Amino acid sequence: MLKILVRSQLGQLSAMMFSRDSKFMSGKQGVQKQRSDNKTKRILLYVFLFVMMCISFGSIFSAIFLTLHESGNDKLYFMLTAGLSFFFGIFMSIFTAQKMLYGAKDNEMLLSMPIRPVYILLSRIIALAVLEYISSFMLTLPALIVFITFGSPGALQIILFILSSLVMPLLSLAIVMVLGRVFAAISARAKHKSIVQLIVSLIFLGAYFYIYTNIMSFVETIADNAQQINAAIAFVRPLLRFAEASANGSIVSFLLLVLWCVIPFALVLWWLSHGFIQIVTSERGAVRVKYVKKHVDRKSPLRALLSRELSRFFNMSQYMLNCGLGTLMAVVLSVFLAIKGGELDSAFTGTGVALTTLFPVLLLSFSASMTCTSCVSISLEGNTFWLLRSLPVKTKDVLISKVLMNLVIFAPAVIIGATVTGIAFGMSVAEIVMTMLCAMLAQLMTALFGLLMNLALPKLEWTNSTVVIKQSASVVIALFGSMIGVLAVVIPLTLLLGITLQTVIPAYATLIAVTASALAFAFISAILAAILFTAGARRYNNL
Amino acid sequence: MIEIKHLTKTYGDKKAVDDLSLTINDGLIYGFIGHNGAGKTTTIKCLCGILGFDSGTVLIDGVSVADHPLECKKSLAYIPDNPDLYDYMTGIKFLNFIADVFSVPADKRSADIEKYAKLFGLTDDLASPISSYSHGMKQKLAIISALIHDPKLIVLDEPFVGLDPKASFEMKKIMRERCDAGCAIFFSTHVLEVAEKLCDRVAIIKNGKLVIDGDMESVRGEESLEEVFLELENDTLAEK
Repeated sequence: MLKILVRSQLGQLSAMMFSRDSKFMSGKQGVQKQRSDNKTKRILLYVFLFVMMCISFGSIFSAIFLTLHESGNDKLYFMLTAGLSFFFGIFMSIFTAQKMLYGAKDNEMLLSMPIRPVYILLSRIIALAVLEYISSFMLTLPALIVFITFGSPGALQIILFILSSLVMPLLSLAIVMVLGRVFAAISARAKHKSIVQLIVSLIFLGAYFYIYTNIMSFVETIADNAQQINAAIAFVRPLLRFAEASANGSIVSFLLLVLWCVIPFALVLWWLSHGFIQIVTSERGAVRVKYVKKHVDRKSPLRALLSRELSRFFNMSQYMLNCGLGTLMAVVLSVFLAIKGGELDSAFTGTGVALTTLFPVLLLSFSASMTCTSCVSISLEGNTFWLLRSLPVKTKDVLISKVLMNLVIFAPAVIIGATVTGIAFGMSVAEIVMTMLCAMLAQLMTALFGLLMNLALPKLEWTNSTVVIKQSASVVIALFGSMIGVLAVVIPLTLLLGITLQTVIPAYATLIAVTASALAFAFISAILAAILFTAGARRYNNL
Repeated sequence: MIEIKHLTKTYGDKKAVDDLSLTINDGLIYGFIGHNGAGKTTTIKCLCGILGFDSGTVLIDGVSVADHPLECKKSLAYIPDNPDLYDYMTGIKFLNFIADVFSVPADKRSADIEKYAKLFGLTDDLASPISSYSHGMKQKLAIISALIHDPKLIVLDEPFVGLDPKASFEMKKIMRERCDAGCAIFFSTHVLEVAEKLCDRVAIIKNGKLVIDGDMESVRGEESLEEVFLELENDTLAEK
């Protein structure tokens, strides 16, 4: 039975990541081949992304290792590796755990069947473990490669590092399962549960970005205070055992690590399996608000559709976090840029280059590429898609509402960001306005591209909205594609052109460079819009 | 009001609806009966413009659903068998959304929402998120959303599933009142006693093909509708 459930869970996960809805592929010739080709392409894409993440983390690990290896602190390197992979694993799967373990739509159906509840729980944990291991390997794999390349380790050290890397995620999995349960309990009682989840996620994310952006100063601090830090981290026994096993090739330490990871995991599993039925059946209907009649104004169908999109966005924390993060990032980084902009300029003193007035548009455009709600908005219609299909709304209005939503949530960030940085850097009104326009056009391009990707790769049949939002192929392609697209425009047209023009017509360099990017975004958006309202609309009508 | 001519819809190699023709006149309640998988829901979805079809025509007031879906959808309301609504909205937000889409004036919608919510005992729950609703409450909300824009045609797929006895009684009363006012109602059901009492005409579909279509009296003759339906089913088994 467990095998069947695990196969079903992994099948769902695999379908979500690699397949398009089967209903869209039926009744056509060559479907099998096309499906297999698409799946191969998507697998290759995920492999590519995994490799890119490994390279990114590899550069950080090589800096840390070379610094620590020089001072003879290899053990600290392994402690940091274990610690980072531990926290990364928790961050990457905490809310997935909440939905996957406790909020899946098919919980009640499965509980009605003659299946032991612990099997249902175990099958979900195994699927979650797959995600946990993928997250963990993004760090431990580059850490191992760095270790082998620069550390000349023995075979036993390598084997124990690999085995420790396989055991360590069990501990983060145990913690994720407990935290997921805690968040499920908090959000079930909270009136605005999506806001609670969003705040908790942002705290995690803020800590992550803080560590990531300050990694080099941390490395220096670590190198300078290696002994004290060593002693401090050593209190966290699993990290110490991981480090001893890998650095010294100590089998005893490895066995102790196994105990440190397996025992908590087993205890959490026992705890959850005993209350699983109660946990998954007590989440509903917690909030009851008495209706008080209020006056409402009539809206146009397009405005009604837009309100519907906004309502969904603000009621799904994962949607806000995964697809709307760029909005927050734009505000925070703009304020940061306004404060630290002077330092950036002084770095270029004597070169004749003033980057500060170019940076706001770079920052806001890049943030726009990270704000893509449209890339999953078709999939999120899910089993309510019949409603849109049965209502007298134009396809064009539905598509426009999804693009508009993206623009509406990003617009306040652009206004704040461009105004704050514009005032701080003494930019002219024309430059500030053009910066806003350029960023909004970058957002338009991102939204159009995202929606086209979701129309091409929709996923209307799902049991867990978090998995659709976090792991859909359309989301991954849209986000990375938009980032590449935005950078391909702003680096040559804003940054390089701006720097070049500063030597020729310094007074208008920023305005011309930003206008050039804005025109490029407008041009690409026009092409994407033309595709969306022709082929995209046809595709929507055939879903 | 509705003319379905030679409607055919296939899924892959399977013909879900096979050359089906029906005419549903104004002022009638038309029951649509068939075994599971007979093609009832597919026919209904084609008729509402939710699903495309391979051949045939569906006309609502002489307007083709395939060519002018928006115009047709403006005059009809559809309630599915399993009302999956927007969980992220409250009941009142959902009703206002539907009213906005159908351009229902603010005063009229307000009065209708109040009237029907009271009738179905849903007033106190309108401010709660739909995610907290039971199946029956969702069904009631879907029914209210279908009524507030005064459709000329109401298409219902198993409308009584999940409704409590009072709501079911009110629903039947509303259906009759709407028909008396000139509206047409086309609904599928497995509850043959309800169909027998409520419907003016009845159609029976089997394996995608229409096998019986006529006045309730002429279809059942001296028998009950249940007996007629079971005889048809037994004939199919005997043929196999």
